Amino acid sequence: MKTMLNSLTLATGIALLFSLSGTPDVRAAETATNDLPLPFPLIERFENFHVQDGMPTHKVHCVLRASDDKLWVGTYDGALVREDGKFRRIGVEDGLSHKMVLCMVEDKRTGDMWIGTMRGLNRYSAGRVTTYLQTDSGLPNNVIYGLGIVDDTLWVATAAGLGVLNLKTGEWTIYDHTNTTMHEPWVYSVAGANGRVFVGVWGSGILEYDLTRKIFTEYRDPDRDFHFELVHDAGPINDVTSWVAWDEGILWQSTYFGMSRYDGSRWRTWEEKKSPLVSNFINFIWAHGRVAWVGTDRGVSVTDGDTWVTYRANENGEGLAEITRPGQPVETRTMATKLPNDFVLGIWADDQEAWFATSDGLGHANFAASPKSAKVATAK
Amino acid sequence: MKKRAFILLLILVCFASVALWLRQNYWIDHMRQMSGQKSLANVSCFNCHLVSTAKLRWAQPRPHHDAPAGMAISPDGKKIYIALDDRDEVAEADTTSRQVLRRVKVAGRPFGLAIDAAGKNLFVTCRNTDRLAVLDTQTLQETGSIAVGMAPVAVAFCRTAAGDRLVVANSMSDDISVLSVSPLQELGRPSAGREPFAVAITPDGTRAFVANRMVRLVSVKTIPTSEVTEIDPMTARTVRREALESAHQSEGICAVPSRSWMLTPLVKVRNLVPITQVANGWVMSSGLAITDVKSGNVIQMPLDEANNYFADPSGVVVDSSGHRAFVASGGGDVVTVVDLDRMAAWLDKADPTTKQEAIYDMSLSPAYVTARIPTQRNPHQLTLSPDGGTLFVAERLADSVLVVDANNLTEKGRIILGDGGLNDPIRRGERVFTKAAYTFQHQFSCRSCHPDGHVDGLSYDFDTSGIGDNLLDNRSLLGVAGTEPFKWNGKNASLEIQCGPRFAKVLMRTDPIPQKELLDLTTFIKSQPPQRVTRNEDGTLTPSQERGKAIFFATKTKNGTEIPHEKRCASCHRPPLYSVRLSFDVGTGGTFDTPHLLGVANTAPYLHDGRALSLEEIWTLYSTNDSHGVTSYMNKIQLNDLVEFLKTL
Amino acid sequence: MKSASHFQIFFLVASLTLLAGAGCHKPVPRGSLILAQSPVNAAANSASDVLDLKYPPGSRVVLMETPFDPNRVRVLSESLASAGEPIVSYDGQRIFFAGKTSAASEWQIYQEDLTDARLTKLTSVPGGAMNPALLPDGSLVFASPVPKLGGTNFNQSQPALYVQSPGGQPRQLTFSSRSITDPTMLSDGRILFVSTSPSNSNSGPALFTINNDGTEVTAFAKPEDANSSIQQPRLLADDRVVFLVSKSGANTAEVVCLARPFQSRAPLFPGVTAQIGSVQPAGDGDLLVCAGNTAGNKPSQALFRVSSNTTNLGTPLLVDPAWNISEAVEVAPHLQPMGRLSTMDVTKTTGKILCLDANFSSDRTSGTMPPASRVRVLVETSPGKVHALGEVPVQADGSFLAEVPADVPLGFESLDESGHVLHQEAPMLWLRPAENRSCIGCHEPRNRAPHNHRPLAVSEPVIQLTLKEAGSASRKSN
Repeated sequence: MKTMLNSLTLATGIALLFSLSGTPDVRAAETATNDLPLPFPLIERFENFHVQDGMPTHKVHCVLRASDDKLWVGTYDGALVREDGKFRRIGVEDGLSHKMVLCMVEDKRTGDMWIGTMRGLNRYSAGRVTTYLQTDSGLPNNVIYGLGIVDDTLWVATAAGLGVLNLKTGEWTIYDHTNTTMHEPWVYSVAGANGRVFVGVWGSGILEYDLTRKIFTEYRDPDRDFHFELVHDAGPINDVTSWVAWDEGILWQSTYFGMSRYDGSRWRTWEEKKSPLVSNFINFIWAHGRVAWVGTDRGVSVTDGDTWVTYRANENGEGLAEITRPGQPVETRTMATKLPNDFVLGIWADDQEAWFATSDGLGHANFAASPKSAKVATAK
Repeated sequence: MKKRAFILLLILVCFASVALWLRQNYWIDHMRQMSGQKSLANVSCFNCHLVSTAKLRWAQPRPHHDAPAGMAISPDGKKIYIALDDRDEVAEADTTSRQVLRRVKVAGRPFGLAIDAAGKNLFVTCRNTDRLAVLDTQTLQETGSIAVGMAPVAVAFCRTAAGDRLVVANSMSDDISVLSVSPLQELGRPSAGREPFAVAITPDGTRAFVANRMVRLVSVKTIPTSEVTEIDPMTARTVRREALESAHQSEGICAVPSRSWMLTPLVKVRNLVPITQVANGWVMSSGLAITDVKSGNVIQMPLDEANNYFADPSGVVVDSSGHRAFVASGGGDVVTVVDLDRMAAWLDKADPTTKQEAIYDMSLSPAYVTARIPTQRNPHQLTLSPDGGTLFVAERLADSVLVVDANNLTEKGRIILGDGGLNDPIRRGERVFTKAAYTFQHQFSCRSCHPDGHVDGLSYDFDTSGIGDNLLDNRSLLGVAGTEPFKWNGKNASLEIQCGPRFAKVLMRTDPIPQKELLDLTTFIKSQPPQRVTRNEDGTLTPSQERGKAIFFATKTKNGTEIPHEKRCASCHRPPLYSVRLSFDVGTGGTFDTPHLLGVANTAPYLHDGRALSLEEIWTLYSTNDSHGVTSYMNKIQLNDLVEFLKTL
Repeated sequence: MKSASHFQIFFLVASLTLLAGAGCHKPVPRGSLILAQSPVNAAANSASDVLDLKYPPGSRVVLMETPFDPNRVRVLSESLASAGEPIVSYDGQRIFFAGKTSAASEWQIYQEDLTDARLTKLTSVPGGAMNPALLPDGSLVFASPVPKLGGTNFNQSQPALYVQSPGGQPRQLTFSSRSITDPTMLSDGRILFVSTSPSNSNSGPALFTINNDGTEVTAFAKPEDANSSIQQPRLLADDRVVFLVSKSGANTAEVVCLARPFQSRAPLFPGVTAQIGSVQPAGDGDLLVCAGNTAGNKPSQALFRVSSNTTNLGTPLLVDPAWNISEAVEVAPHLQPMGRLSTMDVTKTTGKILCLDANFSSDRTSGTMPPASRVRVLVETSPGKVHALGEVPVQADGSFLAEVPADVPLGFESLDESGHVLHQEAPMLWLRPAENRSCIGCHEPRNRAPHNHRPLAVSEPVIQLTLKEAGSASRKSN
């Protein structure tokens, strides 16, 4: 256990060292003028929100737009709801179990928002906050990293196992290292799919739960090496999963050592040196259609697996958009605006806009009009 | 049978003789060890042995009665449909002749009724089978059925832009089933407050309001609130939740068409104030919550008078013009008539502070209460004819429906459903249980704190041992037969003592209930079975519940360490009652009676003062040093398993 | 067989009833009246107490059966020199009244059993007894002593209420320096009475209630007329309480509604100018009114029977040229009030009082005064002599809790941090032994229910204030 922790710390350190040592050649500045449509929208302008704009804190952990079009933001100091151009804060004084909001998921059928914090789970339902703690409910642990809703079940990724709450019966089921193949109980992320749930576990890759057969299938890094990617495109890039996302049949895995994609039959892996991926240190990955938005410590990369766009700041603090088309040189564009901070912790995006939770503010991306951007690639 | 008993006795005698021969104090040691009591004054063999639930009153067959529950009137006003939940029937009666025309069987305790706009379909919530049945009003035959949440008690029909909808209050699963009528399917199940009990639709059909009977679970010294849940019936999404401060027991809700109001009868409760008196509504009083449909603001208005109370407000109905509201007082045997114009005029003049303080003014109601219509026992649900000219009052414990001319408030007659059941001591006892006339100024009934014999989820501060921190959790009366002694300190040897002089002195502040009525009352209480629980229909347990059962009956910890007898779950909570009916110290500040665990899942909060808001908290927060059984060896999965097993009892 | 058994039982009961009735007076016809009569030409100058004024020598209590005939009465107070204030037991079988055996003797309470015409003296109280009322368990409630004429408030003891169970000794129910008289029963089991302040006080008489053991003394209604007196409150069938008001020589009847007694005071007979001497409820909701006879000079008081909503007394029901009818009550069984199990413990000598918010008051301009930091508890050891019993701290939410001596009049002063008196409540409240008493605030709005919150004071050690240590307080763990 201790050895593993040390390994991870080392791996993270190496990743950070690589990322700080210089820009890989593949992203060398070029001035291409390719106007071919991209398979996903291109960001034209960022609009950023900081403390002076009504944010309670500069640290933003997660963001999502709910089905009623309200924007929800999880911060170091409570959750925010953007209504009528203003942020309304929901904090401990409103019944939230802890101020540090780490993750959120909406139950689209009822409009309830489930809010994971550093200490407990919360259900925000039309103004009422109901809390679930490890002491007063079947919740496995109070530290909640990720949430997912599949049918009538809420899946809760915690620091001590995966909790599953049956929303109709109230029954809790816990999966951890004692009853699954998890090596450790640190569950970071869950993503619901058709009849399946993908679970990202620190150190144990990805577990897939089949809702019909009620069994787990394990996806592990084939080389089982934390530091180096020895076997490419054969499984998860690394077992230290930081996030998983699923949409339209595509599973995306982010780690602190690169990222992976699984379409149900074939795995692909990417590392920063060997691909346009801006950094191996990935905090978060968001799937929309067949496109992934990748939040790293050095900016955001967007990709459908072939075409890439990265948004980051250059050494002078200017915003850059680096466009990499298959077989084409990198096209670098200077932007008038940029991400509020390149350390990106959460993303929400659709065909119209994208939001970024960063360590120093909330960013809102306005997409450019066609022909420079296109609809998100879909399987349809 | 006699032979078996004789053989058993013989074996026991032989065993006893041998034991006595071996060791003189064997039985005393045995009783001490098994009971965990230093003094054996209250201990007998029967604390542990020869206990059977089969012979308890609640396990015996009982007479059934024609008690009217929900009612619905056909759109043309000619027919009234009445749910007879205790009979598993729905009755159809002619509103003019007041004669019952037909009665049909509907399985599963039919309780709430609604009828569609065309009058073609009658929708019935079946409280015991967790479903909604559809009856064709022409044939009264069941044409459809759909599973909903647990213990549905109310249903409302509404038309939306997306089609016809049904909104069902599921009282035990604390949620709301939103159904489309065609096809009959569940669109969503948003969470309600605690024990949703009544549904009303705004006149434009855009909103459904659900009244909840119990307060939300909060720590014992926190001011409790119940909830009015507002949902969009078209999308099944929750829109808003209005909190009713220190109010509960809402069993009715009704829209006021002309004023954009939603009316909810309530019991205003003052459980946090030491019960040094009951005068001036010190413990509870009746009120009517006015929810502004547009803003969600709530004002609570009193319904009682300074020296006379009308307990257990239940059903509410408003005439089509919105001028008058009728509120049934189940404990007071009246229907209170509220002049809504006068109430609105008072509100118009009152400043915001005065409005918020209105519910505390026990002299206020004469400003808008214009009449009290006397009824027979236990008026509950109310409904009005479509033209607003006739009021129907379900007299639940008289097996009748009172028909009142709503214009001049005179009695037109009754729809007779049954004989009142006065030959049945259980029915007579229920009439005592629900009657407020035994208490000072008719302030409350047994039911006021024990709706349907259950709990209100509150802790009260009795002053019997002086003014101080004496909050005690209200305990359910369901399944208490055979679990004497009663009271948390175990000092009341029988229900007759508990409900007689003790209740009179501590709460009623009157003379005790007369002996004959008291015996009926205790017969009724003993006939109440434990709360229904969720478990597999065939009685089998899920794997988690099986594991929990093994933990409950474990004699050793996971690593094989012996658990001392007095620290095993089943030693004190011994089946079949899951209580040995003795008092123990579980580390909560004294020695307290061991509650039985039948139906325990639905009786939160727990422990003598209600400090544990969930079963988990009993062990995660309040069992330091294994004071409440050896449980510290369990991991979270095992604790969840144990809780899942307890939910099946 | 079963029906035969029932019939046999019925026959047996019927026979025993008939046998039991043999040798007794024949049953009193329904609607018969008990009258208190005074001779038209009685001399009033021999009066030595307040009852003598109302019932001069020769006054009597009589039974008048239907059909009424002034010449056909049965005198129930045959052996007494004067009698009055009749009430009827709940079963309609016994009459209780005040009477005296001679002009010099003291008024005491007597009972006449209508079935055997036996007169029993129930009380032998020094200073006399008056104003009989009956608890549902048969105990007698009365006021004592009978105030003497010519005395002042401070040189004679004020009347208080006593209760006496059948065959038992009188026990004091009220503990006040005010005059407490005219008890009557409310249907909820409380005793309603008149509390009259000393004559030099600015506050007028008021109606209060207590429980049957003297606990929970509570203001019921306050007419607020300083220079008036009120008497003979009675609960009417329509849930109003009627009482007689004397002011500036005029005797009227007024009512308050039970539903809102503090806000509903009104004349009982608007437009009637006659002097009202008595109003009693009759069984069918009517009222029996003894009022000035406007038809002629004598008698000055006649009996009227009117409906409860009348505006005109109309024609007298009964006029007796020889007798003034000062009171009339109907002989009929009537509704018995509720009983009540006492929470008192006579082995104790103290009670506890909990105030939810000492800063809450109806007669104070909100926000203009600083919050109270302490409350001084006062005790009135004898009429007009008020001492400080001690002080108790006020918690942040305004609550305080004190253990105080039982059965003495208590008052309160809220004090700010520097000891200035913010608010005063004169000694008018008492606690019975082991009574736990609460109030919402000082001069709280009447008929008000408390907010639902946990007073901080209940979690603090209770402060014990004792008479011996007046001026000092000791702490005791609760």
